[in-house]
Amino acid sequence: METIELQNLTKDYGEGRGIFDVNLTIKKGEMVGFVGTNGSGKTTTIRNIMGFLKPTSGKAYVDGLETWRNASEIAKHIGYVPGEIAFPDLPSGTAFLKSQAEFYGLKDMSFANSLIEKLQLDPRANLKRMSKGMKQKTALVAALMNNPDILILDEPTTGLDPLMRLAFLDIIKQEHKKGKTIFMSSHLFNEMEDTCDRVVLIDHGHIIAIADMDKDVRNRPCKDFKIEFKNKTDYEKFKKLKYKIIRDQEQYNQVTININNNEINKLFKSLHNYDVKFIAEVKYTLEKHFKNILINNKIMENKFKEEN
Amino acid sequence: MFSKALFKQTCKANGLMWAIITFAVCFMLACVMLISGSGNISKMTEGISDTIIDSTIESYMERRAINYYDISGNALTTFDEYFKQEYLATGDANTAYTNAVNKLQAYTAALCSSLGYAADSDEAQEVQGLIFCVLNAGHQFDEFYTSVNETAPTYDMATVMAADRAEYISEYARNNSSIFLAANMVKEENVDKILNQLAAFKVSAEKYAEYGYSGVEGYNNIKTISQNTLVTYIARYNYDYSLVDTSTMTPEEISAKQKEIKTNIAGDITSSFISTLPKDVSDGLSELGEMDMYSMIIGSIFFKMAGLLLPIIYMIMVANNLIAGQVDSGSMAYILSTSTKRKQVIFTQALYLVLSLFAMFCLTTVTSLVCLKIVDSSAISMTYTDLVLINLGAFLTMFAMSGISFMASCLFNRSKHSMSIGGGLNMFFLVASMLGLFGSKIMPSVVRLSSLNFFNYVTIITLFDVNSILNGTTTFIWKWAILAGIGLICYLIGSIRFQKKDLPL
Repeated sequence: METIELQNLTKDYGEGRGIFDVNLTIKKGEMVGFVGTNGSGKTTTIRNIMGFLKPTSGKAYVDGLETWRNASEIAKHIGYVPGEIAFPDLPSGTAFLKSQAEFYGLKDMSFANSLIEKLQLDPRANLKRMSKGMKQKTALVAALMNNPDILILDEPTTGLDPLMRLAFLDIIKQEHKKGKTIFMSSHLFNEMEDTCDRVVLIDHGHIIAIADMDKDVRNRPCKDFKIEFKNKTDYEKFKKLKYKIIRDQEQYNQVTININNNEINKLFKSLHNYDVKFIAEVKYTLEKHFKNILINNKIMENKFKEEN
Repeated sequence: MFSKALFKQTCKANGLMWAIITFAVCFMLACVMLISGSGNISKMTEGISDTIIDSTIESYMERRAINYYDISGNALTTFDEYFKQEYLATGDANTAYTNAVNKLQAYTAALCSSLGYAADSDEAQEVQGLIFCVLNAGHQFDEFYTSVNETAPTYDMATVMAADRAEYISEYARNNSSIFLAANMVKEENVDKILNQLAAFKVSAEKYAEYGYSGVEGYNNIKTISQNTLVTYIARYNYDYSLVDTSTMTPEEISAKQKEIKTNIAGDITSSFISTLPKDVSDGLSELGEMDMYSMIIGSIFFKMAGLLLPIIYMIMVANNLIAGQVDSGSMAYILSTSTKRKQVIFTQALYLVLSLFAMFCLTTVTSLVCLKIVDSSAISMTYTDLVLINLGAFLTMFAMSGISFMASCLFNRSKHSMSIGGGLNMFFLVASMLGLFGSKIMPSVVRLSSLNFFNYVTIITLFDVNSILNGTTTFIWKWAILAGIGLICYLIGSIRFQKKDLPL
């Protein structure tokens, strides 16, 4: 049984808005990122998983339970941090957390208190006057205090300063290490790169690609290097060696080559005789990965069109 | 069905507003009840009704005075005629006098039967008493005159054959009929009769005495009224008659003309203050005098308008906060992500709204009962039961209206939509009921604008029938049933819709 499973999930708001035919499975203990531009359907998907929306067609399952009909049942296992943080009309963070504990039927606040300590949060502050970061922390405590198996976070780092963002992601990573299943949306690629196991790209309501971070990005079999030569002759000479050149900038005497990991030594040996100004690895990012996929998709599409 | 945690949270979020509004409503109610009950308002109505009743009695006295004068004057003229005939026939004054008295008796009997009074009816005896008392033949009625401290008159027969005695008779009849009228009107049995007629205006014996129509004071008063009226009457009659050209008229025409003039003048003089006003105004004034100002202010003005305003504002805001506000801001997500069912949410929130309104009206009930106890005036016809029923009615009205607001709150995801539909509709109802009040029947017709009555048909507050409660009829019960029905249906539709709709959380 998959922890979260979306089967042909469609929520059509008309005029091309919504999500269409979304298929996704998330295994237990996995941390999955969900990337897309604003309005691409991230929040709609999450609301379907929470059972707040009734799908136009298709189904969403959490722990094997259909979400729309069993929203209150699955909520027991989910900690949810909504995209828009708006608290109930209560005086302070403490009052809010206490009220949430009552909803959960929690009597023991020690876990919540340890979370508060770890997050360095002062929950006594007035809810309305809290900064964005404090609100996010409070919301995270509220989501985690029941120690749920699944964490669903809708753009949790939006609006946080870089330091706060790192601290926040750290906590989420720790939860992940404890074996929790995490589904987190964002419109920033880089924060997904070093935290998530898989990243899903959604655009205009359709899932475009799913990247397996280990296989596709972090441990690729080949690498890109950019090399600049001090003089033209060396540059011309190097080009005659049979390396795979993916970018050539003649005016700077620069080339970017793509080589297999096991060929690196060979490259350095061949560079021994050249007057190299610098050599740098061009990092392969998630963004680049998705860009490549999009370009490939477009090429395929055009080909498909030409063929017909 | 019920979520204790949510109920607690809702109480915390809205409790302060509830307390402030409830205090304000109770304070307003106490002020209205104590100030208007302290006498000013009932005095005002009393003042108006006094004026009306006083002038009504006075015009009644004036009409009687003219009536008495006419009857006695005519009788004396006739008596003179009889005496002349008898004197010419017998030549003896005493015999003629006795015969004339006998003939006058027959005349009186004929007059009575022509007026439709049975021989021994009160009215017939009154006519007879009047005629013979005024004539005072053989000083039979001296005792009557001395009992009211007047000198007994003697009807002078000396000049009967010689001169035209019209003026003498007129003056004699004027004086003595006035005395007779005044003495008659202060008699206990007649006062009782008048009181019976005035019972409809809630005039007690003490009250009647205050007007100055009983006792020695009343006697003098009535006599003066009568004398003054008759002086005016005679003068106007003489003047009006002098304008008529009688030379070409037959005797029948002349007497018909005389009658016509008399009727006109009598009508002019005796018309009371009220009857000289245009009918609408006079109706309105007598209505104003009769109406129960206190019940109107408490029942219709406070509980249907002023007292509803604050609870409606509370209800509109809270109904919106309970559902639409939380969906709009997104804070509902925290509730629903704690495995609280939507059914529980909707039931708890609806329960809070209804219970808070109920508690509010329980407190206003207590306040109003205490205030009525403090005011406790005989002029106030409102009972404790009336007050409890009015408060219950106000609660049911609020229940129906809160149902509409709650339904709007459940139907819409945006606060602004829920507020504008639920709040707007309820405010419209309140404003319509305010405008409608000025066209409704409880408003005195002087200030009533009947075209505004249209508004009573477009607001559900009309179903809160305060008049029916105050008048003790049962129409208010089925109207309550409609209110309860509207409320229940709205709450039901709202909760079903909320459980089935998409929530943008």
